[in-house]
Amino acid sequence: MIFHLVYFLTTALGAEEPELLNRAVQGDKEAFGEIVRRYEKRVFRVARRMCNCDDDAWDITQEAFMKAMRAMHTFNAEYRFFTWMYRIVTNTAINLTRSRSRRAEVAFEEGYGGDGQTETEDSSIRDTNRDILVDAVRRAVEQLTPPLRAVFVLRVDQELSYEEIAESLDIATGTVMSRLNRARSSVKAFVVREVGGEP
Amino acid sequence: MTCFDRNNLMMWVDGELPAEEAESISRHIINCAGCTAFIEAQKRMESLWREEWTDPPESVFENMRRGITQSTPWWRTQRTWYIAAVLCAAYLGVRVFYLDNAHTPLAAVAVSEIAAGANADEQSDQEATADVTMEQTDAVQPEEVAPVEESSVEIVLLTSDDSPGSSESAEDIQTEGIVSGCLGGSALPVMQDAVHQRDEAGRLMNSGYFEMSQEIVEVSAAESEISSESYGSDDSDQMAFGSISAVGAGSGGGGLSAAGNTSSTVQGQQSTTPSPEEDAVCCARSLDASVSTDYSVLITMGPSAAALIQRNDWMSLFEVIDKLLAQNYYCSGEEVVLCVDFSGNVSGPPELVETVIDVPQASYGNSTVTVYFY
Repeated sequence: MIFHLVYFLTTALGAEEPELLNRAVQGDKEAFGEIVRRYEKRVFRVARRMCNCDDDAWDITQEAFMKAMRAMHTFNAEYRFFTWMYRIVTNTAINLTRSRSRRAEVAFEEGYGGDGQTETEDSSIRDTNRDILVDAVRRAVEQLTPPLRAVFVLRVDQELSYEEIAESLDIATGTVMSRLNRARSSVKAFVVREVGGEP
Repeated sequence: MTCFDRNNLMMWVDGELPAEEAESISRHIINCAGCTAFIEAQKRMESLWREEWTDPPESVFENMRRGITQSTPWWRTQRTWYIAAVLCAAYLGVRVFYLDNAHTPLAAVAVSEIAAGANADEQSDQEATADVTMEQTDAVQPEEVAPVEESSVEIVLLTSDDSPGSSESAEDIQTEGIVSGCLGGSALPVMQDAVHQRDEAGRLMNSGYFEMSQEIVEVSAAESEISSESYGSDDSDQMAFGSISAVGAGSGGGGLSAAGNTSSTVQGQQSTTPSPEEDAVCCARSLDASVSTDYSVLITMGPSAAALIQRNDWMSLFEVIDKLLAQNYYCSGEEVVLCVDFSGNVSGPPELVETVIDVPQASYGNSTVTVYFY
């Protein structure tokens, strides 16, 4: 939480400074460099979460910023910059992920289990060793399809609101809800299966 | 006690429920061990995953930043040179096969195919003769070909029997930018294949890949007269007339679907030649310029795609792009990325696997369509 509070204070507030954005829109490279400095960690983190590979994440991050720089003159002030940037990086990551990986499709559970079933699942998650659980979640997220993963990452990792996710991904808020629900239930089913909670 | 839907519980955790509903859930979970356990398990999973993150060292970010904002990056990187080399190779390849064909090679291809057909005919049917020689195609010198900006390709194909003086007339026509072939009448099927190839080439050029000015080409009366004089042989037992005007259009996004400035007619009368008016009708198909979205197409190929792309694949590819452009599906982006996957479909047409608007800026005009092949 502290981590995100720091992000919020150091980026979200400052990055929306109209003057900095205006300068960047007008082609001021220094201003854009400052924007990069403020957003690079968040962008890299999203890229890394999306592609699960450091090298790809750096490529995606750099490419996303270069795309943003080229398109900066078209930036519409009606958008919040960070959602605009999120859209670029997620799209870049989705493209790369889809083009490179031919993942075996994993059949996920759609929807949470029933009451009696979820009690077993919940207790298994509660009792599982931290490292094992983190590893299981990480692998579960890797198995998500890119669109589901994007929503999951923006909500769970970046803690964006549904509205911000919708704006970032250019989808309806209802779509965010349904994708997030599917992503969460899929992740949980995978994790429970991995930690032996009999999904 | 009736428990709440799991989705609503998670929305409550996310703080996305209306106040009234959120209050109901808050009251409920105090007395519901099941819902509480569900929420706690979900929160534990997500928080552990979120918090296991460690930022990379600052120095790595500095390098990346330098690469973005300073001059280091794009033209000095090895990858860029690789991409540039692949692009050049692709361009040259396409140029050899198509763009140049639009001026001479296309004509040469058509004529040579006709000649090949004629040779086959000679073997099977001694009555047919072919007056198509390489000299005719070679005679089209670069300076005689219309420049790209004013590109136009017109091919008039006639079949007749041993037209007298056809070679001389053909040279005259070539100076007008027209390549003509004259051959035996039984080569009609071959000629139709050639016309089909030109149709495809016309579609390709109109797909916007080649940046050429939009220009409507009409067959002039004088040219038609030349055709008439050269090929209106009384001895011909069958005549086929095909005429195509292929006009490259670098603009006209939605107009791409109306790309076919192509026409061909087959006439069975011996001495029938198209009148100037007919020619004009045949060739003066205007491009649909109702949608004026300028764009350019940048093609990036991975090594496997470069090896796999066959000549015919380009047609399929541009058909895919045409369809998307015609739908205006992504014309709202400053930069658009298409990923075309060749890996899973080697023999068939390329498959468009992803279409993403990269830059969410509603900006019609000057869009760039980037196509990645994998």
